[in-house]
Amino acid sequence: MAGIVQFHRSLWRPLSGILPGVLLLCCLASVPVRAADSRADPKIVQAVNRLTYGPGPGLLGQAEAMGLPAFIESQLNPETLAEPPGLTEALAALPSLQMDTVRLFREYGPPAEAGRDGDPEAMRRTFDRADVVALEAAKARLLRAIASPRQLQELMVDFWCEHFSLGAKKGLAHLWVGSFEREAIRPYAMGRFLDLLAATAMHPAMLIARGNWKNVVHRDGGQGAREALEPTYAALLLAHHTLGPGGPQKPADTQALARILTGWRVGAARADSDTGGFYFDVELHDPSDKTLLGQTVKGTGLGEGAAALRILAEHPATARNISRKLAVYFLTDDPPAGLVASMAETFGKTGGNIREVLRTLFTNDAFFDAKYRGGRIKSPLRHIVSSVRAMGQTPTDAAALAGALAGLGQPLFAADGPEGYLPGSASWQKPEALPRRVSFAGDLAAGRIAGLSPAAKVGVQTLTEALGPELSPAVGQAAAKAGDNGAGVILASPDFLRY
Amino acid sequence: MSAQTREYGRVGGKVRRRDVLRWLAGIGALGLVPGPALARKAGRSSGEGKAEAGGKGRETAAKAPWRTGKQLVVVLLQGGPDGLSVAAPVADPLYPFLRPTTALPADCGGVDLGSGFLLHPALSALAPLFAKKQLAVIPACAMPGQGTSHGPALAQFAAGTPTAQGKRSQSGWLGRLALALAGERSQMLVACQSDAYDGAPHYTMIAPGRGESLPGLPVEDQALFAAVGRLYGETGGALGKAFAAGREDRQEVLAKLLEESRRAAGGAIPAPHFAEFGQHFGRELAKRRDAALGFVSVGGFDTHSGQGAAKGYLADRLRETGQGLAGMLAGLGQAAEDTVIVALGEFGRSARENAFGGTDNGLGGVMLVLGGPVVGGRIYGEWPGLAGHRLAGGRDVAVATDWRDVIAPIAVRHLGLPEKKVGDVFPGFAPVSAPPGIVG
Repeated sequence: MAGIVQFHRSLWRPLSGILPGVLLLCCLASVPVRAADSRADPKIVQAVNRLTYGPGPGLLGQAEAMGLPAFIESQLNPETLAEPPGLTEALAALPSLQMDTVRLFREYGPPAEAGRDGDPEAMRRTFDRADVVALEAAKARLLRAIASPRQLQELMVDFWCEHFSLGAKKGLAHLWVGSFEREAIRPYAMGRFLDLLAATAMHPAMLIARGNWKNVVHRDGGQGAREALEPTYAALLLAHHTLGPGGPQKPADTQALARILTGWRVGAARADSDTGGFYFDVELHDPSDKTLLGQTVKGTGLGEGAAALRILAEHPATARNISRKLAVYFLTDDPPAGLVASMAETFGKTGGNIREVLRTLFTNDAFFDAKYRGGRIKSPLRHIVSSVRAMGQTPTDAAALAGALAGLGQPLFAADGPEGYLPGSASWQKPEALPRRVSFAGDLAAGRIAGLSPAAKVGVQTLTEALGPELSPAVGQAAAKAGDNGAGVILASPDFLRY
Repeated sequence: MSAQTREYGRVGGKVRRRDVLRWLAGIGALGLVPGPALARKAGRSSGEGKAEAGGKGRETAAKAPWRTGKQLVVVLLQGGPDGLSVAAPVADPLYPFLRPTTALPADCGGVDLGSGFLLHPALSALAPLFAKKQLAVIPACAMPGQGTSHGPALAQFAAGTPTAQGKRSQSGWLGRLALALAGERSQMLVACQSDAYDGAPHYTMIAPGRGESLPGLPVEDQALFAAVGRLYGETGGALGKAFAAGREDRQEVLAKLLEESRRAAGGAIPAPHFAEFGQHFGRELAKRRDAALGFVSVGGFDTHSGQGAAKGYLADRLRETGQGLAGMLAGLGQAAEDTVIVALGEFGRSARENAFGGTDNGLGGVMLVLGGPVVGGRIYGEWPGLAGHRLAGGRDVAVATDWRDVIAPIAVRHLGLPEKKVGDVFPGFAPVSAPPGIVG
């Protein structure tokens, strides 16, 4: 079993080991605040718009004072950016945030007496609590997106949460959307792709949401196996999480991968390799040798999973798939092939170091090409978060914001399918959705969204200064003419909807 | 779990059906009749009460069973009032999530109803009644199996059975109740047309007269849309076109909703007028103690857009309704001690607010029961909760209390309706007979 333990440790290699040597000492808060004006460097505007959820008061000026390279470096090194005490306090007020997967199950999971044939009302109460825990996770995500200076990290958490989406509610996976984000996504969001892949694959939320816990082969004393393969997750892992839909995988690879992942279960720890609600049941594992993408995976139990995930993470198709998707998320729905190729090259050279892939993206000239500026439509999440940021506010309670986000068609942790909300912007330009955005902006500005002060009180001046050159003179004039509606006009304007 | 959540979960568990039974038993205890138990089985042992003078063993009463002077007034709040605003579940963490712009804040000044609920502050006219324990509030109320279109739902309400799918039935439940109570001698005081009292032998209609009419539902901020629309027009391209198309569709939908809400108020007294009319109706009721029953319908609760929260359109309608109901008791004067008023809608509204700052037609609504004989001062009935899997069809507050389970015992214990005749009033309906503790 020593091999398995080693596998486990290598997966949880501390993030600090892959930090770049140069840590920036410069802190955003120490830079004097000044209003951005129309002469602001368009590259700075592009960087702020794409590496953050959008500027709050003073951010454009701060970034300009730092200079473009320093701003990008600071965002690539979130550890150097201190989170404000207000945010820490707001997060501390959400009790389920302090609990790991196992503790969440103990505190909020089904009572012992509610088994398969147990009290259905007790199960319903369990799901009641899961709804509340999931709402706390959504509140936390919004609070961080709005108030954390580690904006790029927050965007990457969003990116990966959708890439590894748990999909629509399924069983107790819903109880764990927050612990999945905290344990499987957040620590590796800018780390090594293999660590991220392994953490998501072994998390109980993923095992349940995608049915891999049911993927078993019953062995009766080493002979006569009864197969109950459940290849849904294996197929998703190949076609979506790693190689991509156009990858080299064949149906036989899906079957082989499913066999490799047999015996991955949810439950109490029984061995050193079992942790966080994951446990490996060797009795339910198919021990035969397998062939995945032309490579032999020797039957070694849990070690097969490590070998398979490594094969997938190191495959060039994965490098291209992930790089392209990142370029779509951060730049444009149809990114230039050269840019994607150089990102994929970095991916390969650095062993899937996500931070380095991002650095390649953000330092490429194509990233600052004028044709991409203002070329994207904000998702509802980005629209809501950027609005609140532009107002310079931190909500006292983000439940209403989370509800408004659901009303705009993007409920957090609840995308319909396993692919999550798509990273492109095309899907957010539907005719019926745009007037809803206007309506939301009006509600926000008028103070009808609970937990926030009205934007109208924040005023057109504050918003104009925060957004600077993002706003055209036409929007400024319309806002000025609109009187009390001015803030609403800005937050609903086409200029603000694009970035 | 936060302190608030824990509190909610704890008290939520207390509100059980057995409390309804206990409370209904209370109504009987206050009256003259030694209250027979609600359940049919139990009814055999305790006799049918002295008001039913036919004597034991004789099924056809020679004398009407109605306890003279006792009254029941039904106030139909037409259009489907929003239960989540009348009795707001402010302790439920999902409430602001489902209602980003229409949830009542916990500190809005409404009366604490207990069990994590808050009475809308605009209903402050009813607050003294709650304090005097003459007002009971029942959330998540409707008739199980009914629909959520106004026409069919009003027909089902009138028939007192969910099977009347939009068809006009031969008689209404109030009509049948009038017959069952006093036959040819029974009287009824009504102020609006309704199929609910079809079949009643006599009724007197008090014309509500002319008064304030219903203001139209508020629509979204047209100035904002006009200003923004110009900007999207100037932008042009795919974005400009998408916006224009979306705006046009949205206005069509909104126009339909506004037309629906206008029709949903048809035949009812506009809520602004009811604020005064309620007292007048109460005075007439006080003069007409030969009337066992009363009926009024109030319009203006189909809040598809611009509903508002602590203030706004719905708050104004609730204020007028509260004034009308309190006024009715005031108009009744001493007779209020013998009168029970129930106010309810044909249904409730969707748990999640819609894209127009309003709510859509939904199932579980709210019922208010007030008057001297009421053992109030608290919430009654089960509360199904707002978690996604608890909502009916994933969108509406589930129905936890059948309004007939509230009306039937009032008719039996307060008015004197023989228990065996409940089935005549509500065909196919079996009252809750679960002994306390069995439903949890």
